[in-house]
Amino acid sequence: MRSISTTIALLLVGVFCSLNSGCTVGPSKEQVMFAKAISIRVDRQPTPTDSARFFKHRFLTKRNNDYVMWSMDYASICMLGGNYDAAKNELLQCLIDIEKRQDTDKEKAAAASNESRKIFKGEPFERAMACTYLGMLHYLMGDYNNARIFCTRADMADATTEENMKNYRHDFRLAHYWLGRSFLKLNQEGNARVAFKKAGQFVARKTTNRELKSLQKTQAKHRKKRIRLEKKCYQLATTKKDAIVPGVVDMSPSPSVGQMPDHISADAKPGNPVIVGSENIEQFLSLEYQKQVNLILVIETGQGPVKFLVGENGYADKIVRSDYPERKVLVYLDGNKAGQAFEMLDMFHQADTRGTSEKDRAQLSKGIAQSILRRLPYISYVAALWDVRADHRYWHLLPGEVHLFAAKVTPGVYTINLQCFDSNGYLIPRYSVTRYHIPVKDNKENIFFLHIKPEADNTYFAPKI
Amino acid sequence: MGLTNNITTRASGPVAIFLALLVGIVAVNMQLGCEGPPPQPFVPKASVAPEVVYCNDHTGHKPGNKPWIMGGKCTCTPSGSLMQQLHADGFCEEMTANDLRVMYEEKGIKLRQEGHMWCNGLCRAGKHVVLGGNCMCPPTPGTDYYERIITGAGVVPPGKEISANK
Repeated sequence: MRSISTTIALLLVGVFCSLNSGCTVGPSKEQVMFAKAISIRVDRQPTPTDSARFFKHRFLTKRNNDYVMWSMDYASICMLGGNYDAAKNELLQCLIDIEKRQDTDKEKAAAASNESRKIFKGEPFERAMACTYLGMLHYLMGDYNNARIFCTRADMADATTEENMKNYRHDFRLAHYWLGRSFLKLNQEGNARVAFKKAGQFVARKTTNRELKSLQKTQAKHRKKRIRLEKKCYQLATTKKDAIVPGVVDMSPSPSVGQMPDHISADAKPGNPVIVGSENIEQFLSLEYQKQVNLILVIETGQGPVKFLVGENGYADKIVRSDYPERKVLVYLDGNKAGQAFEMLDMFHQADTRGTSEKDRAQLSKGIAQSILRRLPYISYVAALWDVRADHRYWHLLPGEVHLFAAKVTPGVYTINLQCFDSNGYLIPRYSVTRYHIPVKDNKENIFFLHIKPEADNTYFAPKI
Repeated sequence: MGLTNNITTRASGPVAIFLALLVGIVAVNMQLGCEGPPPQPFVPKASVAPEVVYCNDHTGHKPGNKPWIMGGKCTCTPSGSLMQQLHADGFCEEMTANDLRVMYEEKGIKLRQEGHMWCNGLCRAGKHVVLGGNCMCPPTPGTDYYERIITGAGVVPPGKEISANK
């Protein structure tokens, strides 16, 4: 009798363990596709078109509460993959949903319980970025009036920042930059001058300096460690008999921005193609300079801020900066130093200055009420079932920062090389990006969207082009 | 109660040694920085761009390339200036840009046009013709897709095309 009960017990444990582990060998195809799509900013071998198709099929066929969130992510995948037509169409639809879709029942339900029951419409900075992307895309496609309209709307979206952060209401500098360029195209120089001036105004937060110092300290430590490991890596790849890697390069040198050579390789073409370049942000944002430029690079770095739930039972949300090392970008054209790209948008700064809204206060009240009720006898059983979680949905695929490079260069076809530096201004060698055959045509503005990712230029194990 | 105390006393010796060892290992690792293994080797992308094989509107027409529809490697959108260059190379001498455009359209190839300027392989016509699809919208410079197409990496030979939306 005893042995039968033991067998049954063991069987039940086995079944439970199998059920718990999912009875599967590995992740499903859908899970793999989702993971690939959501990590597209750092994936060494991304498949943006496949990821975009997967997202469209999986998340955008039905208009549920999360539609806007997936729509924003889909647009990011399309932007990274160069599918600008699809990105533009999706963002237009996304904005319509943000503005026109209403469901008061869901909003009431969300006010009393889980906040993510309502239709997601994004934070002010997310809406501002959606409008800025649309502004840039319209500009790229030569529709300057709509570019002006969307960049203005980006500024308005940023202006919905709460009262306790009113100093940051018009600081979406990337939108101001493209607004300035749109005004230039529409022959409104006065307005362009104002927009460029606003693009240059950075209002620091109270914690900005402290964060920077902490980051510099951490990155200095990381640099020392990185140099040691890179030396070890190079030594192994060049001396270990069975593991010699042809073409391997020592990635331990980490010079500062000022120490970077004028020519990055021995194959650099003679003569610097830059006719007019900028030394500092003031010159870069001057009307006279912007009138001359014919090559603009929009360089996205890092990953956007991450939102998660905090507090008892997740009654509040918190946004933190993603961990990415690149903070400065230097541009090389055909191996010749072309100049620095200037930071025009720090997404975490935008997220951190959204302010405390009415809904945040309501969430706090809900959280406190539930916390008290859960400690009362008898009522606690019911209170435990009350879901007071905040809304943790966010635009997952935003860039961490956006840097701009603009110059007047000799028309031609170029190899563009981007070199990245940490907050102390030291090179991070594995964060270089090389792009071939970038055309700069005569009498035309040439705009390109590029993004930095680790190991982008490493052909070890990757297909060689 | 007495039994519990006895067990605790007996176990305290080995537990203390184990804890001391653990603390020691953690301290040594912290001191050394827990560096872990070195990164994988870095073999950089060539600093010299590979040659353009399949030309398009962004790269500009490559002299000597015959239009794709005629079995060549030119995927430029038919235009007056393209026809001049093709005529100079001895191709399509009796044809106008419109004739060439019609030839592409009759084969079901979707050319660059209003609303189909920046699809980069994400459109109803499927992949770029070079990769076996039916789309001839020039790929977006600065992307991997662009580099694959212009250099001919992953080229699908004519006759083995992939149908749209795959």
